Amino acid sequence: MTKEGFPPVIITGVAQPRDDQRDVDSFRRLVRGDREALADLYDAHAGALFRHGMALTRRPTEADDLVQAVFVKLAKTGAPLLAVRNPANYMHRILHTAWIDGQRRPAATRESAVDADDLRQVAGAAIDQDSAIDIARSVAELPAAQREIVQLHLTEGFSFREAGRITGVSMFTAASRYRVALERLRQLMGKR
Amino acid sequence: MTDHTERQLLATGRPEPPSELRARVLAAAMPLVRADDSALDRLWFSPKWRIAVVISFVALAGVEVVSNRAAAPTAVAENQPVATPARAVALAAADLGLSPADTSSLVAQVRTSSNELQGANR
Repeated sequence: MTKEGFPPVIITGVAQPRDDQRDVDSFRRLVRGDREALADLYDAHAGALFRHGMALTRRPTEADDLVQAVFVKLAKTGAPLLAVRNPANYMHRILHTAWIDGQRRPAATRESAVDADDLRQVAGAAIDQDSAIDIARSVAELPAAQREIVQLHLTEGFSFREAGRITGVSMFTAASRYRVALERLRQLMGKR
Repeated sequence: MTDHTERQLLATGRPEPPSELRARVLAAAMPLVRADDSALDRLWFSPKWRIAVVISFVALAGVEVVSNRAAAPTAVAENQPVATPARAVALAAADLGLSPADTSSLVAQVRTSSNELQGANR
């Protein structure tokens, strides 16, 4: 998919509250073979998953692929979905795992410089476009693990415990990564 | 509590997925959905079922502990006097069918030898 294909739709503000019970019901419907449950889950979580993917890859096309990997995995999983108590965490964990798997492949795109178009997509229609691009550029300089924690905790509203479970680290490591990331961002944004 | 940096980050806006992605993802994933809800699966993966199994195990362990306590030997039984050698010999002689006279002579011998043994030890 080309970049020209999708003008970014930006929403500024805090994350929408999650509705675990509704998602658990959607999982049950999915296990019963109800395909519309997948559409409901997409509508509820695609935005957060896409941003998570963007935080990891910094590229919209790769974030798209990660979102698709999550829903393909959900469609294939079947009955074990009945045991999931926090569907949002579960889906973000699938995305994280898909990203790790992608990193292991030899042909995977490693961390590389992001171009101005990608930054503009991340910055979006914020209050001040220039400063937003500066912030996006600063965030892009962080390691993927730190960008991921900032995205999950600050933007999507996951607790450090949840973010730690999603990324496969302890709550303390997640909190530490977040603190280090913010410290680094303060330095980078102070320079600009 | 958010500081200035966090507020700046939140103000940068949140990118949303492209509108075409929905159709693409659902087209790829929906054909893979299949009904997989056998009664056994529903039972096995149900959180309520798992909690019920754990509670049952705890209850069974509790019953086991209580029943073991009830069956334990009482303190009275432990305090009963230990049979003396003479008494043991008398019981053994009775079991073997010896006459009361033989039994009493045997008991007398045992008492004598045990007294001698005690004297030697002192």
